[in-house]
Amino acid sequence: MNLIMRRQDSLVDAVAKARPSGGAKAITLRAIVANRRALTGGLLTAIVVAIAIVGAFWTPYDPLTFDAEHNFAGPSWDHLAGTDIYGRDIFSRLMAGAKVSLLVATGAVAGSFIFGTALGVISGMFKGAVDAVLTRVIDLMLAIPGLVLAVGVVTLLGPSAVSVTIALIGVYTWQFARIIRASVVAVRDRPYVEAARGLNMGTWAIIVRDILPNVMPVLIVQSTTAFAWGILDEASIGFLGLGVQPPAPSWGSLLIEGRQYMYQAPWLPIAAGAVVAIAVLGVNLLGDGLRDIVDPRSDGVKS
Amino acid sequence: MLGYLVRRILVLIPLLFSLTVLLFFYIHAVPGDPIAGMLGPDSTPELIARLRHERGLDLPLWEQYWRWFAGLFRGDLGISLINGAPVTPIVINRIPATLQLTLCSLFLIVAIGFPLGFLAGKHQGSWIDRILSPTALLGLSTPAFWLGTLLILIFAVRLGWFPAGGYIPFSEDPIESLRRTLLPAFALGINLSPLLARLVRAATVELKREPFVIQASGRGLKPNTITRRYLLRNAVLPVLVIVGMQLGGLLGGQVIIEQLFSWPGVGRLLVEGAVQRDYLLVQSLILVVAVIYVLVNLAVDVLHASLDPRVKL
Amino acid sequence: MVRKTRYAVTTGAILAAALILAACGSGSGNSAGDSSGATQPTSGATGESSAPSGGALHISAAEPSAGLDPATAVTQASKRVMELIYDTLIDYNEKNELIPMIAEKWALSDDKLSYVFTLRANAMFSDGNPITTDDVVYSLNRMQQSEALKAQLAGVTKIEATGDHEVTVTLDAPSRVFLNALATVGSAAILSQKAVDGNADYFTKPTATSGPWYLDDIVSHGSATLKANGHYWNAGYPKFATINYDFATDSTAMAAALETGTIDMTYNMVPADAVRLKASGAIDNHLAPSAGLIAWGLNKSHSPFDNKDVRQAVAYVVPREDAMQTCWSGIGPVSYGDLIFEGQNFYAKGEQRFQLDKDAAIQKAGQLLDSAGWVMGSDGVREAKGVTGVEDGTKLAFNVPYENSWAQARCNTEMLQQYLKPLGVAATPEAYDKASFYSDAGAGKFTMYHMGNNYATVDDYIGQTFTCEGSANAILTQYCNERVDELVNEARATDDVQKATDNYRQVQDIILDEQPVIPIGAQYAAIGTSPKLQGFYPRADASNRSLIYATLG
Repeated sequence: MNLIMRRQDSLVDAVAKARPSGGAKAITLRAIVANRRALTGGLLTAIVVAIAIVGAFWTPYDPLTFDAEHNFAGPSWDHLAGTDIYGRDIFSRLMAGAKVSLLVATGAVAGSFIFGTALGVISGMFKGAVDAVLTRVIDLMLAIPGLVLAVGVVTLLGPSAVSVTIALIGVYTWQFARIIRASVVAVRDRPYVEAARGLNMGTWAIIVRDILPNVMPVLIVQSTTAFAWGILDEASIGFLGLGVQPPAPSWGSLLIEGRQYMYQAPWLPIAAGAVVAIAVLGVNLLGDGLRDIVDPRSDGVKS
Repeated sequence: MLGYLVRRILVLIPLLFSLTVLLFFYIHAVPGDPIAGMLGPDSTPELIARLRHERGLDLPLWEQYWRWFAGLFRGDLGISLINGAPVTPIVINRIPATLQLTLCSLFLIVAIGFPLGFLAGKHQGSWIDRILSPTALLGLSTPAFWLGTLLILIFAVRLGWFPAGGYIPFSEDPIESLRRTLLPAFALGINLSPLLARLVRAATVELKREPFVIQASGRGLKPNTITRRYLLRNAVLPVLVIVGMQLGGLLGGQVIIEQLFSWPGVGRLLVEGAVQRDYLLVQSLILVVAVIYVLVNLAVDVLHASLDPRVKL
Repeated sequence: MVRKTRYAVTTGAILAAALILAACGSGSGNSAGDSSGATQPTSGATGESSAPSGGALHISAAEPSAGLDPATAVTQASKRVMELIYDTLIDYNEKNELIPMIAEKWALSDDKLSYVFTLRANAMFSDGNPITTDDVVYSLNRMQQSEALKAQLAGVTKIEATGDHEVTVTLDAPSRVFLNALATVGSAAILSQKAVDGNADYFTKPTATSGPWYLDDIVSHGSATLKANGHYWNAGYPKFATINYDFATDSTAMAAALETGTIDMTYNMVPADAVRLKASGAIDNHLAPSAGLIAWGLNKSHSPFDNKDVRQAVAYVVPREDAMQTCWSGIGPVSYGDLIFEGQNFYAKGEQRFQLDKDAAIQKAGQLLDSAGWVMGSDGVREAKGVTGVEDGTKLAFNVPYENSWAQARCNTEMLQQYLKPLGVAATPEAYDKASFYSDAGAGKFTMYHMGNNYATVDDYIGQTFTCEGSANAILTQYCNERVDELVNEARATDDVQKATDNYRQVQDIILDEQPVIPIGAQYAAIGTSPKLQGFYPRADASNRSLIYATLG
């Protein structure tokens, strides 16, 4: 996660040098299509989201129905991802699990977006003691590795989708805050902000009109990255047995089953892991692409 | 340099202190009574009261904190809520396995990442570079548990070359011990080496443009000599940066890989405590991991600063 | 720059070397990998000291989190360790007959009320001190007050030493099962009075113990090391000099470790793994045919299960063989009405009432439900029509909690949902936190729930599960029938095995009609061992004490 932060720092610098109307406006559909990474990532993400939405209403088979005669069947046209020990269709379970994973990730991003931005803006705009204290708090929370902190929170609250969401908000907020604060600090001393102050505009008005639009590109990229982390972390915490509890299918519990029945049904862990990997890869690519669009110079290393 | 060190440490002290305060309230943040929740069906009011007294939970908060805090300096991490066993030996028992995996992973990260990054940078733009970069991205984005699962499927289940997990102390059987370490270390290596490769590549590309390298070429030195004498040595720096960055996480946070390969490390202990709702074990572990993380990052920053004159303190 | 690079590399190398040394160093100190030969505990007392033939056994199993105090640690995990470090007065052999342990012989008085136990002269604790009558009396008193054996020893009126090596126990009424209580592994341990009283924290690391091994070291979340008791009365045993007992929670990992030979034995095997590995010849799979059952608990204090017909109806339709096959991989017997199964004591086959094919079962069940006032609704779920105390239109729908850590329970409950659907009953599985499951079940919070238990003997099982005062009854069965109590008490008192069998058969017939719970089978523990393990046999009480006589290869 450190490395991501360092990349974002250079992005923050780029944003500071940018014109007031900022890079957010550059994110158009055409720009996305033109950028290879954003396009690929966008497509993958769209597919996963579509599967999740469809899966909420319809799946090829009932994810919960046992069919003991066809258990441990390999992938076929009947069962795209095979069946598990109880004969349940794995592909249907993956579709059903997608909903939970994406919801948790969305919730985590939304929550940390709100709290992190608030913290970052307040810390950056109101300098002095407030800033000093908040920065220390942010540093403190960042000192604890993310997954460790998340497991700690889930232990307190008991395993469930809600507690995983809360735990992830508790982890991502500080990263948002740190990045936002850096952006705000870089922008707040720009001439047009000084001018706005000179015109006696209220602090909140300055924040909304001048600061936020400039911080937006950073926010968008950070949100995309956090979304990828959210999918991954939800599946990871589920894999540890601390996430959504059965019988609700989730990617995490499918990973657990995959590991248990690796010998009898290797397609189970492959399918479960592949879905998570594709989702994470897609969102990450999209984030990379968006960052390119917002500022093409930010990443000195071409990949 | 010394000033930098002192300044960093001065900042660190309040940070660690705040950490202990934050983590102390962990147990008390549990919704409901932690003892009752832990005892479950066997709980009677007398038993709960007795256990609360034994674990010191009926003392005033500040006194509980003071006891715990003072104990930390003696190396006493507290007593497990579940069975009253002292936490410190439990954690110490996990150190050998954690260290072994960390070292092997670091070795592989460097062994995979450095040559690949160096080659990509040296032959920038060539077919080598164009193949390695997306491959690196793939390794980076693939979730650790999936990498691990694939490795187990291929090398343990199908080919049977390695066991599917478990740990044997190095002192007991070195060969077997290393055999078991290989797959999890490989998973971590594939996952984390792309970061190193990228930095090494970037550093190498920059170095090629440095005046003293161009000059050496102009002086008629053979490409191999240039490589050996100038490029290689200076590209080592990013290695240290990455090693430092990863070391903290490897030592304390490899929860997923340890679970997948049944590796009895510190990360897995956290999960065991979490599943059992052993709040005190979880609390102490988070503190231990956070302290390791902070101290390792500090050490790496200092090392980095001392080696690279471009880093302003 | 070059100089600094060299400096950096050297520092790195030194750091790496230091870490390696630390890893290796602490590795040898803390690992459970000690395969040294026999060790003699110190203390200069006389007596036999046998030299075990050596070798180490590597076991991986659940940690004894409930502790090692025989009075309070009633979990199987604790018993598996306690039975290795504590001896009892009597034990079982492979034919489930009682054999002498610390008690060399015993005699029953003519009035069948007094047992005189003669202790071995050479019985010693691991510190070399002899096991005296004081120790036995102390231990028996402790047992009588313990959670574990209070009920079984309720009829004991007097315990006293009546000779140098004699202890007499007097009961208030004849009992066939009294000796079985004294053979309860772990719980009926003979402890050293001096050692226990002399140390307030004795049970965190018991010393001076009576069993074939003694506890050398134990680390929570780690492992325990047991070493052979050099002063054990049974010369030449135990065969294993050391037992390395790793604590593990991950059944998949334990199965894998057993398969690759890293460990020699585990007894928390997931049935699917046990079957698979046995089929491939990688392991030996032993089944412990312990008395007990897997059943659906029913709340009979209110609708719908206050009505016997409703209970019968559901009993026709629940998955039985399918559940045992799918969820337990066929390990363990199926019940179509019986509570005691073939191969267990007091088995007598009864009416296999619920062995109907699916369609016939649903039809029969449907008729019962219809006449009870639960008619099929338009949405496929039955609703009340003329059921006393229930508003018309109430749906026959409820949650079915199961312990969330019990994978087979989850499978079974999910199958239940499927099988009850065609009957018009909407049963929704609910993963329930293990910690609160039992107290909430006992408090009557559930309508229908998954339950299972295992006991050392059939007498214990029937007694605790179906008599009014039984411990499992209060929490799980919640059923009180005086006739059942009468039959059970008779069976426990009489010497006549046939009479006991007949009584238990009558009990089963009553339960078959009443269905206070719906039994579907029993769970047998799957013990996986290395094919090289010789001389080990599983026991009906799931004990591993046959390890005393076992060797590797």
